[in-house]
Amino acid sequence: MTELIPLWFYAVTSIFYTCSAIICFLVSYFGFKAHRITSEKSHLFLFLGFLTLGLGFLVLSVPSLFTYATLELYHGSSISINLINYYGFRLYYIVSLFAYFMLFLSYLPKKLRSKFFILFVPIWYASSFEFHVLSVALISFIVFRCAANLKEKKNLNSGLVTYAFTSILVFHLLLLLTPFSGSVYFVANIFLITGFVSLLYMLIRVVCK
Amino acid sequence: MKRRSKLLILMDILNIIQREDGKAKPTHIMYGANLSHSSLKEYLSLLLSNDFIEEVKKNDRTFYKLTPKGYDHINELRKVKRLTEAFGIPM
Repeated sequence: MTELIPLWFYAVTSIFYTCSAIICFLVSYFGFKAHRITSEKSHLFLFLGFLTLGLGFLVLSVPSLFTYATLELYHGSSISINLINYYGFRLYYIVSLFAYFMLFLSYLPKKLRSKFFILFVPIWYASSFEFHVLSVALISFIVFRCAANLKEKKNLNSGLVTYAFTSILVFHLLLLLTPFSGSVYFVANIFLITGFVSLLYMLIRVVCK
Repeated sequence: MKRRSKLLILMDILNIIQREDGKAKPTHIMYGANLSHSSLKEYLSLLLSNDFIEEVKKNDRTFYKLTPKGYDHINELRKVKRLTEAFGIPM
């Protein structure tokens, strides 16, 4: 992929992931506030989901930054890059799958929640292709619920949340196609950051209205 | 029609008091929040015990007044409501 994607873009994606992580932490803070007031489990899952998703993006920003710094600035060996990428991505897969699962649970009817905890066990072993496919499956359900909410509420905030989750879904779908075309990697990351910007705009509207 | 959660009822009560310049009669709250007399008493005592409202007597009439803590709480509740509505996860 280093031949197909310019090195500077690794630095850009690292910034994208860090910004996404900060937005995730902001949403999780408000999710925590909601849980403190309502004591609802769905709000606890929302808090935990965005907290771990933020951690996941923070972890993901490290391999990108390390790749850029090693090759562009220090002209270092690719062995250390591969090692950092291997562990960085594996940690990201685990943390963000946990996050998506928490978000999935926050949208799941209460009666079904306990049954889905058992299903989570094999997810820990998932990686790369399986990771993206599982993420797509989990986020598809969240997008479906958000779209239903948008249809009912018909307000901008619901639209922004629906767009945010849809862009995360598109991000994972496009990453599945990166072996065929490197340019898809660009588009995927652009989708991701626009999704988080829309989430940030929703938060500003929630807090400042 | 969906049932309101306890939290939304408490929010409705605080909204009604705020709408009436921070001080409302119990009958106004009861009709405004669409509550029975017994439910109203239960919710008012909950708000009183949390210091969100205070009872004020004026010319043999009882009013319920929002406290500064109550004002802060209603603002927090509104933010939480907007957030949960945006995500489609009910309060």
